[in-house]
Amino acid sequence: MPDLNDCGAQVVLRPLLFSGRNNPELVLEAEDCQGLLTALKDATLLDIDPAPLPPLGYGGVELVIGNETFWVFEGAIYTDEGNRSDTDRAFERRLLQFAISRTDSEIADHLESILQSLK
Amino acid sequence: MPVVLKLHVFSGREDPLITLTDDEYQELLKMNVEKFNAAEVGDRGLGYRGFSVMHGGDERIAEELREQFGNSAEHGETETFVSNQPEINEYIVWLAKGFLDDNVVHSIRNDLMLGPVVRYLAPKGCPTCNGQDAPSYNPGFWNTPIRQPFNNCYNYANNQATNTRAQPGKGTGKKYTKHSCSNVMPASVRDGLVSVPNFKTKRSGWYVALVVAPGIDYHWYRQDDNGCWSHKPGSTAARNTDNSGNAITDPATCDRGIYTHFCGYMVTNKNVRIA
Repeated sequence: MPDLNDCGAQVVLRPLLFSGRNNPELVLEAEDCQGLLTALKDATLLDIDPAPLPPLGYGGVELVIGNETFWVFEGAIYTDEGNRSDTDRAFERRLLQFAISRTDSEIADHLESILQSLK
Repeated sequence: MPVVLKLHVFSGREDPLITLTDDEYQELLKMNVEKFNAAEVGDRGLGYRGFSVMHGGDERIAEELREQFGNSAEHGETETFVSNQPEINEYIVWLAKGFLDDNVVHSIRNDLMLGPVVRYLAPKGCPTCNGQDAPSYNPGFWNTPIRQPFNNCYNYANNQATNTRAQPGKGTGKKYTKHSCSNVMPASVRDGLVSVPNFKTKRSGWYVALVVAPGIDYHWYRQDDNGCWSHKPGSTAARNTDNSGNAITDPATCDRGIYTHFCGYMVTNKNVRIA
């Protein structure tokens, strides 16, 4: 498990949107990183089933911190080190909002429609 | 009644049996069943071929195994299962270590490193496969850390792991420019694919299908030698089910999510150039 207080490691946000074309990758600056890591640290550890198979189409957001990948999808944050709860998909929404603010308009529009459709 | 794991390893000798502790049995029940695949022995024939679970007729355990592995726990033993997942295979090896000779464990580990050697059972109702060179459904080859993130639907459909997330047209110097059928399909034709009206004619190569989420993305399916279709959505795992979890008998009619435009069927072969 990476140090969730440390934004020294490279932190990359990768919304899983596409099948054929490459997904966008956003490298977080230290100032963006800290808030996300705090939210991640506060997420409740959860005893849930292993991660499901992401569907064709939108499949959540990957947050890569150093060598560790957190997959955020449908109310849970999945890692090799244990899963966490994402109540009301708040963390997932936050990641999507962040991605919307940092991508070009075409992808941002697609992300916005996904964000609006999250249940 | 103890639960016994049978490792299908030997041809002449009796296969090794591992009696599971309660904790080990509970661990097996907790594993993600989607990561197991019912399988029949493939062409290699020798070496580790998967595992089955014997419940000795205990009805409670039989019921639990039925829930975990589907309707396959009849006659005191489940079907043979394999997994593409390294963590599950590591667990099998870990279990074997405590019970079996080092040379047997070593042999199992080596076989697992070579990847699954099985043919996956075809879902019921698959159509005839008319592609004479159609690949087998073998997700284990694709769903590994060295390939899964770096190969996409176009790689998978063409059965070429270039590790470049291949793009239609790029292999022949002119990549597609719009996410539409009329743009992506000609790009793939430049790579060597051929457009066809259906998948009912016997021909060399194998059938693939192109679909598009207009203005957003494209996606490919391929027909495997069992007649059903499979696909690999982007950097995620290869699979043989649609977005509703059903086997894919025709990509034109399966649940494709936002990929609403069915562009058509095409034929590819091993000489197609993708990059």
